[in-house]
Amino acid sequence: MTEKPRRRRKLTHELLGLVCLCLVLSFLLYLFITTFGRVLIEEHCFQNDIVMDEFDWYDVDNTLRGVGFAVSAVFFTIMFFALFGERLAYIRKITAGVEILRDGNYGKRVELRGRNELTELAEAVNYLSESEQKLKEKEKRLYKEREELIRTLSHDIRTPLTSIMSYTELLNQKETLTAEEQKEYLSLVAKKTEQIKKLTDILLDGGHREPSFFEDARLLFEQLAAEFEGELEDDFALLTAFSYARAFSGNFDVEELRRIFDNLISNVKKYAEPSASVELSISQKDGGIVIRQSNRIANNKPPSESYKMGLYSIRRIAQNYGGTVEAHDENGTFEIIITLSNI
Amino acid sequence: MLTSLDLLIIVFMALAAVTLLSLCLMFLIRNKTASKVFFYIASALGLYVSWIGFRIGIGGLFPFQIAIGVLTALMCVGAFVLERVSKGNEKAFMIARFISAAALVIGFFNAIF
Repeated sequence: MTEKPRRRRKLTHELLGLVCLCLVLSFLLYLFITTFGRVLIEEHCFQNDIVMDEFDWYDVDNTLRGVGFAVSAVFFTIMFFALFGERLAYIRKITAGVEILRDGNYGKRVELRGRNELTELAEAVNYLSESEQKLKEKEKRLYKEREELIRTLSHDIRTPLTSIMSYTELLNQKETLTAEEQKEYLSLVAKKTEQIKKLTDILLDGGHREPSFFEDARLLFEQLAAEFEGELEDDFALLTAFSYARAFSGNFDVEELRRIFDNLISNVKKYAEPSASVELSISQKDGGIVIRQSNRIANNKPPSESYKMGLYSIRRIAQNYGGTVEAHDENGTFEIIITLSNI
Repeated sequence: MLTSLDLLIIVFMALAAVTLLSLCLMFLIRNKTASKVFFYIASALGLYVSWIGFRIGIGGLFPFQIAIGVLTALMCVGAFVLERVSKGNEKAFMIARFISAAALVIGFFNAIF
């Protein structure tokens, strides 16, 4: 049901009505005093056997009229100022509301009274206050999001940077490397540098995403899994499993997926027990993709801020795909399940 | 020197003006606190005029006037109690105001005439 728009009353009409009301009431009081005052005096004279002539009654009537008029005038003044003062107090309340708004306190609202121009003014002040509050909140949220983006991307840039540092260190020991190995390491350095460039581009673009359609996304995930294996196979026993019913397609931002895998690799390197196996499985579920990774946690390796940032980064990326991230460690085993739903 | 007739007229006029004023402001003022204040004034005034009516009734041995005096006093107390227990209930406060107003008007006429 739609609410009927309230009919607005003009403030001038309201004030005029107020004056008329006070005048009518004052006149009624005047009539009451003069009429019943006379009755009262007649009754008093009758009970006390007082006889008054025509001139005496003329004086009584005149006195009653004069005093009645004075009392009615006082009554009118008090009534008018009491009722008018209430409107004035409301104007003061609205002014106070504007002052509060000017001081930047946007949570306060002016109480709505009546339905005249003052009510509209109060509504306008409240609307302004509400819009300012929403604007401030939006600004705050955007600033927070930007901060988070910078933090997560800065963290994610560190992973390929660490790889570059490791490879350059290896390349420095030229005498122990074959020409083929040197070429391979240089190619890896170039690849990681390209990755850093893309990440910094995202940073400069303010988190702009570029998802592409993959006809056979299975190949993309197999490639990422192969990179995962390539990074860790020297230090860990790996168990990788794919369980797709068939080839699948979808929209993916390769850089985002790479960041997920880089974070997983980084966490394995930092916290996994080398003697135990590291498991990675990629499967399909309800039209989405589920990436599950688990490993034994190495002793004396408490989770650091970097670990939390890595998880946070993965969570943010999963949210871009309408997905979720579940991470838990039980009995010394860490497990993370990343679901990418809207692909 | 003021005669008894002068005093009677002064009391009558003052009571009439204050009664009408408190009754009007009790119903017309929108501010809740001010409205409550005028309600208490009206109730207190109602009790006062009830007492005057009761005193006149006792002095002149008028049982009807005594009964009206007691009744209006009870109405004022009832209205006051209702307002205290209503705890912000607008409807109950409105009923309390009407009871108080009725008691004040009846008590006024009972005391003066």
